[in-house]
Amino acid sequence: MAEIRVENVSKAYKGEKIINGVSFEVNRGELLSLLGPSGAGKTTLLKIIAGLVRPDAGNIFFDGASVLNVPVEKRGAVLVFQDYLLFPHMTVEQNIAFGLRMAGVPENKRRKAVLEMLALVDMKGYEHKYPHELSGGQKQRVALARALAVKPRVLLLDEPFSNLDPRLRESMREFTRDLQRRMEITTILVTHDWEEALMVSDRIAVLINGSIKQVGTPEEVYFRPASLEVAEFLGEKKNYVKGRVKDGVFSCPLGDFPAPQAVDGLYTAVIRPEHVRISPGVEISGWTVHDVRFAGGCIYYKVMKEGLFLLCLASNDVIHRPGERVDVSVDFSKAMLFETSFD
Amino acid sequence: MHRRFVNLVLYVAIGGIMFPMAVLLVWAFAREWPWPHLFPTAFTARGWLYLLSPSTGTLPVLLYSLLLSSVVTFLTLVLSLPAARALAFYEFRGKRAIEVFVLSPMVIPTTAIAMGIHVNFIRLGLADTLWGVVLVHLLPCLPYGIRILTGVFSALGDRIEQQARVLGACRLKTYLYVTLPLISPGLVTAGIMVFIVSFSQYFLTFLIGGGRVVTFSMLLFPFIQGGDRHLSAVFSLAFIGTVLLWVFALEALVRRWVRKGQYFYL
Repeated sequence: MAEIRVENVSKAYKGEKIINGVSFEVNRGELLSLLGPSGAGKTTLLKIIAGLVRPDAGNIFFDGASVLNVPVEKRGAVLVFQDYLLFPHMTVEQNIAFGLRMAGVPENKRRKAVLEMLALVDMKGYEHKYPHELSGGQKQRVALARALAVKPRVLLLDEPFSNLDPRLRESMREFTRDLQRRMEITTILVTHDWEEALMVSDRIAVLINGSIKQVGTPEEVYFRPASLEVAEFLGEKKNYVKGRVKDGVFSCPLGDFPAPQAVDGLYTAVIRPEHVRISPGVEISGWTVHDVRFAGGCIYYKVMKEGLFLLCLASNDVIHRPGERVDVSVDFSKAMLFETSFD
Repeated sequence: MHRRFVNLVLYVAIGGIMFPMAVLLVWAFAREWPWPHLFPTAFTARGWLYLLSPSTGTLPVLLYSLLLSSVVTFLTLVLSLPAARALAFYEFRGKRAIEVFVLSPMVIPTTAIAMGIHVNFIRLGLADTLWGVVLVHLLPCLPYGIRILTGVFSALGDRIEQQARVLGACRLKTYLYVTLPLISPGLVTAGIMVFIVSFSQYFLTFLIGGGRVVTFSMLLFPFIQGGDRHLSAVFSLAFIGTVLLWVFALEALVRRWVRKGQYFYL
């Protein structure tokens, strides 16, 4: 297991910059998620770390030593692709043993390692099956076993759960996370699913348009996004309220709120739906329920007042109907303020 | 109704292919088959005896031809593999031009440039030699090899190779243990196609071989031209049989090799 450092890495294809001066570190045994919308250059970055793509500029260090000139097969960074890419002409056993065979490990040791790996991923008894005989989840496990069999210095997972159906995704996510913790493998996971990133990562690096916008723990990234872009990408639909800060007070159509840290100027407040409270109404509040989305465990409301709409997430003990008058309060201490220029 | 129509088309198509074969088969044993008789009036095995008899030297020519076309097929595949892989996986300047260039022997009749090649081969001392003929056969064969294999490589994609690389396989091992076994069905197809193209060459062999390199199609040609239907039929069947034999042999060889490759794994 190694410590990974990516330093100022850039890559352009046909004059278009895909990766733009990216730097981050992954600690030993840590799981770092590269989170970003599709087309942000996540997979390219993973391939650069694996050695499949050469960066135009920058450097990559494993345990403090540059691996830029180490060829793919000697780098020890094993990439698990989104669609697993098991070798179709080999059995499960041969697939898992492939890396060891390439490293010249003798047959009896290979066989032992394969059995160990199969036990690890709960696939005992499948050694003589071919990939086409396996289900999606099983393929994923074999791909994982094949990657782990070579004892990689870093494990690179490219959207590992996106090809699974939702229920299986959940269990494979837990399984992978558990395995990663137990074996303390330095792991970089690429995903566009912020929920997944929040649930599995030790730390998250948010990659948008080819550059890292923020690196932090899931809590930090969720509660204290570094920019409006990051805030927009993380979490459900949110409320955006424009206003102005003057003398430590943020004034917006919702009212005046204290904003002691902010410098005077124009700001956008991002308010998550769960921080908007809704309660049985008073005539004078002026808020009416515009739309209701029942989601089982919780309810999404859209409330309206004088042309101003707010999204609100509430528990399911009271269900309000459209047109009902309600009281709305905003927990402004949880709102995020970002300086913006209005057009 | 629709089903019946499809069946009809199918039967017509099969009949269209089988009928000439059946006629060939009958002619291979017919001594006389005058109009308007539905079946031959006299039978013979003259052609078969001629084909198999050592004194006519036909079988050695057939074997020589088989060998020559096998060498051509092998060389074509060896040359096509890297070219097809590059065309399928890499983007580079002038790729489109190279694709057109590679396919040009399919479009430009080889007869048109055979003269120029002949003159140069004489200068190089390649005319009237086996290697000269092998070399000139590559010309009509390469487009088929490269074209078929390019399709196979693009269908495979380069990511499975990348997967092998990250697992610690160097380029050569990746090629031997992953790429080649996976493209082997395409390799068989290309091998068959190329073999048939080479085996059927008449004009190029004739010109460059200068009559010294004698292939089976060169023996077959005069019989067809001369109107000896019985002998032509026998030789044609031998021709078809050789190709079929090659197809089965190649298929078996590649399958065995792939299985052996797997066996090596553990």
